[in-house]
Amino acid sequence: MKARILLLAAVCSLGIYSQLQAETVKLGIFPSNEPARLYQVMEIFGDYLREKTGDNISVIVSHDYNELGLRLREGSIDIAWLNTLTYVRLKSVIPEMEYLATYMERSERTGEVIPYYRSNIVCLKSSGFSSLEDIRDQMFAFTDPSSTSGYAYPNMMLKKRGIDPESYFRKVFYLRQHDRVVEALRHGSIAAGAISDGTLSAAIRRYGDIFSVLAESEPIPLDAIVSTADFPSARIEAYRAALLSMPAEHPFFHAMQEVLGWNAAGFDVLDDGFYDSVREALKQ
Amino acid sequence: MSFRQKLFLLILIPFILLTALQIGGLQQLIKQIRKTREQYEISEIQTIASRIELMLRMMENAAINLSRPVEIRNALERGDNNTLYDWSSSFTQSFDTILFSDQDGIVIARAPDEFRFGDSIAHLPFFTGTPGDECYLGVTELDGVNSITVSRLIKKYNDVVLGNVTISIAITPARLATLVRDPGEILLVYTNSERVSSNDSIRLRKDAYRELPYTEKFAPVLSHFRITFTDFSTYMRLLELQRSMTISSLLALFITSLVLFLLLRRELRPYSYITYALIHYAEQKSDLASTREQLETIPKNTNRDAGRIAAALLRMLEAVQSNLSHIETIAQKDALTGLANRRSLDSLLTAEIEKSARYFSPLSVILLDIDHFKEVNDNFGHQSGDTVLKRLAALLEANSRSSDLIGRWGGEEFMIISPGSSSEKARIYAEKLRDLLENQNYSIKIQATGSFGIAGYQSGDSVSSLIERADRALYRAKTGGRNRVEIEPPDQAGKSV
Repeated sequence: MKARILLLAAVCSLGIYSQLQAETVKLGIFPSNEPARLYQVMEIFGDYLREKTGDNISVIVSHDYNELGLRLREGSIDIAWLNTLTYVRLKSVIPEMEYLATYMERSERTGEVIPYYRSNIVCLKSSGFSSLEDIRDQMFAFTDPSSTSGYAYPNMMLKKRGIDPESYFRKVFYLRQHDRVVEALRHGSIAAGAISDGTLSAAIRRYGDIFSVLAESEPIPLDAIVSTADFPSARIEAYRAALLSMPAEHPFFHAMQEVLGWNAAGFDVLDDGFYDSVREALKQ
Repeated sequence: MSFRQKLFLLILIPFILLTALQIGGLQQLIKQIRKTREQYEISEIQTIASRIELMLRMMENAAINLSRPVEIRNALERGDNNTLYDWSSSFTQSFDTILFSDQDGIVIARAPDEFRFGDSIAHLPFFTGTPGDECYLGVTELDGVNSITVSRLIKKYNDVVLGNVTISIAITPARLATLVRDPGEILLVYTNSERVSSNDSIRLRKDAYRELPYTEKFAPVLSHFRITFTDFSTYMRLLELQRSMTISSLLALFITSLVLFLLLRRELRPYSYITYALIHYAEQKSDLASTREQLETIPKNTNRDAGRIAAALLRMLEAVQSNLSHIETIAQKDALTGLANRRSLDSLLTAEIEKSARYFSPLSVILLDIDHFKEVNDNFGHQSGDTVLKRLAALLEANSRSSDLIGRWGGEEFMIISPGSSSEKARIYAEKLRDLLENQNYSIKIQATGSFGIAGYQSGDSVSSLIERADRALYRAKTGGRNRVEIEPPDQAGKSV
């Protein structure tokens, strides 16, 4: 009898344990935007995943890109939404990290849903600048050294034109978030800055056609969704399935558009090789 | 000192004392208020100076704290606006502006103005004036507003300067108002290039403002502040009250003195008049008549009492004068006959002799003595004797010229001074009188005759020599059988008498 009771208790505890395990999936996201806004949107994303996988999703917006890398490495998050550059960098130091899917956007130009975006170097139309030559000795802003479209690609674009930002501009600021670059431009604190095309589209929608594009990058593979190496493969599949089946009209995409200004349109399961072009570009 | 002066002082001195006490009391009160205020103000001034010092120390501490973290140093070196903004925005509750600038003076981040950076503060004094290991402390114009500024260098390896962290608090009326206990009562004013007050609705005179105490360290900020207390105006009003009260008291004193003086003069002048008139009379500087005249001129309508006194005095003087004239009459007349008495005759004769000597006019003296008058007295009594004397007097008066002076020389002897009459004329006149006397009828059987001696004035005669000569003639008439007239011839010897 005693043995039966003990067995029952053991089974129950195991069941509760496994249930607890299923409830705590932490989704980390890089601070591309104001954290409050990111939370607002990502909670919808989390709700969708919970609905599809049965897991309780806890959204964490990291302070910066480094934090996200550290958390992935130490396992304090399970799944992460990484921007391209962070994915490439982290993948090189944490090879066991699992690629789940690639985020896709609807192109403003063609209307196609594609896993690419671009980086733009923009200024205010009112400033009268029309080329990168015009902004010599002016104030310039990147977002973050870990940002793909806010730093890596625009930096590359400048370098290709023989421009060393630190000496070419009077001062180079790092404003971390793309929309802060937009605000700094609007306030006249900087003459030009680097932002993603999604941010630019959102800014145009918000403030009107007040911006001029001084340079545009090649297509950049969009953000990657990854999991830690410890994340069970069955679950990885479940999450991939959930992402792939996310309907185009889901409120999450709408919120991405409305709140963050990103033209979010879906997810695609590609592979790590998709990001090789970035690796190539960074080498240059 | 006259009575009037004494009375004047008697009334005025209490008034002066009262006024002095009043002014002195107010002075004392003001002194006490001033002392209490002074203590209160000193403590408030000290408190406010301490508050500003505390604020400066807090700014200093914040600047020190924001200059140390490695993250801040790295962010400043990189131009990481976001990290610096995050650090500085947590201090915006306490300070108005926190800004980080690089070694060229370009602002890397500014809170709370998140998106305003990239401007240069290289021209501002704290950028060049910040000492190596300490904080810069001063007042700088930031964005057009005078601001208390604390700046500190941010260094790498403790010696490579990366830039500055600068903390400022704008000197605004609202900020100044937070430093004083009661903005309605205490005014804290920043007075350098432009003036900022904790309460713009109150403006006081420049000299009402006082400096705050400060040490050398905080002098660059504290020395520009001034403080004043609106109650200062109450104190000033109190002083004005004291001034006006003193002036009005002095004015009242002056007016009272003047009115009192005029009133006393008006009321007491009649008494002075009376006194002076009486003193003059007493000192024989005036006679009764002129004294009366003086008393009559006293304005009686100004002081009825004095008028009554003057009138009474006047009546008294009139009575005295009347009595005196009566006494004088009595002194000059013979009581029985009403003729001039011997003393009067003496003075009359003296005067007539002087006149004759001066004008060379004739003058005769007739001495008349009733014959056997003793027998009349003895036989018919003194009453009858007196009657004879009176009748004779009446007879003489009735039969003499108005210029003749008749008097009783003594007993039954009479004298007639006849100015302008020679001896001969006098003799005729005497004969007439002798005859009238002889034929006089009395009610009782009295037979009274008279003997007459006449002397004419001759140059050099004195009263006594003239009378003596008349007396000699009378003697001859007596000895020659009585009831007759004798003339004393001119006597050469008489001249020498």
